[in-house]
Amino acid sequence: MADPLRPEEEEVVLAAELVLGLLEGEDLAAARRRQLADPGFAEAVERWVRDLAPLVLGGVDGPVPAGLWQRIATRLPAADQGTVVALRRWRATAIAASAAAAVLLAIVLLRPMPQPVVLPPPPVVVAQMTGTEGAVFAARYDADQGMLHVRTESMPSSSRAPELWVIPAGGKPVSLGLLANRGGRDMAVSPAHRALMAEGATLAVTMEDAATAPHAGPSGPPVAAGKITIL
Amino acid sequence: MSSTLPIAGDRARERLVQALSAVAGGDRKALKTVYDLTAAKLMGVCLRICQDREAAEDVMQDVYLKVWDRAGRFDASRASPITWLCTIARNTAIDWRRARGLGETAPVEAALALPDGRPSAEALLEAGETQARIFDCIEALDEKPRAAIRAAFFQGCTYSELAQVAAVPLGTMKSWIRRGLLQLRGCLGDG
Repeated sequence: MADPLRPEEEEVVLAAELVLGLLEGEDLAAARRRQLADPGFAEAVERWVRDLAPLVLGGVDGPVPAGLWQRIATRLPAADQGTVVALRRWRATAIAASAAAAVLLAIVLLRPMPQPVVLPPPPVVVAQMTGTEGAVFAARYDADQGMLHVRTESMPSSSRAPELWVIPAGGKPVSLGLLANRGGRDMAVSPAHRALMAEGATLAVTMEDAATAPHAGPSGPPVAAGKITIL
Repeated sequence: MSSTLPIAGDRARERLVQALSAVAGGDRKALKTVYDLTAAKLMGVCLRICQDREAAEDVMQDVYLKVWDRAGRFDASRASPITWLCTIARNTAIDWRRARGLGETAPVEAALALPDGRPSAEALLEAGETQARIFDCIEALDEKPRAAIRAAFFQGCTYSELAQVAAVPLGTMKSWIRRGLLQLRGCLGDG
């Protein structure tokens, strides 16, 4: 076996192993769970991402074939200007809101283990971060049952109600229904919407009129947004 | 090392940041600008990882579609635009390679023998990566951990793949890399 490491060394090394993609199987899943649950470790991961990133600049340029741009252009979503632009702006706001960490909604998807496991199932971990604006929602999703549990930790005071949206990468927001003003709420995700609950999708919350929910689209900017992470 | 961006330093970076911002707002012409400014650099990244011209071209399409989707997430105060774009290219190419599994793509031996790719000072300046200590720190490592860490970064190799290729026990490979990583962190500093 490899040399034993001191605990502080172990954190530094494990963070780098995760960033470099050296880990597999249960080691990888455990490191990802720790990234969500342990802010000190998450920071160590971020530091490696930042420090290693310039390495990617070290290569030589490659030959760009003439028709490549045309192939990309034809795969871009059809230009349907008004709504597409409005939607992209909305999505950019949602994403910026989460990036700024002023507000955060975190979700963890549990995926069945790829192989039969001897180990007990991994604990459910929900990451939370709080920010200056103070809106915090935490979500956990059981893909087998299609059940989403969302806890409203804190929320702007409003006469309207928090509505949850899932936004697939490159797609438009789809309402998953209203959240509780306080505490948790279990929501059954309809079979038609389960495929949207995938890594890379964004979850966002907007404040909406409760009487007419669910809505076809959000009426205002998100108060919280976050990316879906699959463990 | 040739420079990708036609104009130097800060201006090139600024132009790229503006183009990405326009892409976030749904401007297709801005995506073409991003492409014109960065395709050669990103093609280099994809080719290095895929080791296959056709595959690299397919990956490149996915890369720019991701840029189209994710431009709103780029934060110029936190990352250099060219590093952000190269990282998307690297991750997409590594995903491609992993989806095919080890053995069906270029030999990992090639990764272990990759030439040192230190970018020019000009390229680093363009990228805004002026404090890129990583290159000095990597060079300061012993040959074995250096080759293995670079192979992991550029090929997405796991511990077991690296051990297999280097024909050493898994524990030996872990030991090399872990020692190298600790040395790297010491050299980079905790900041």
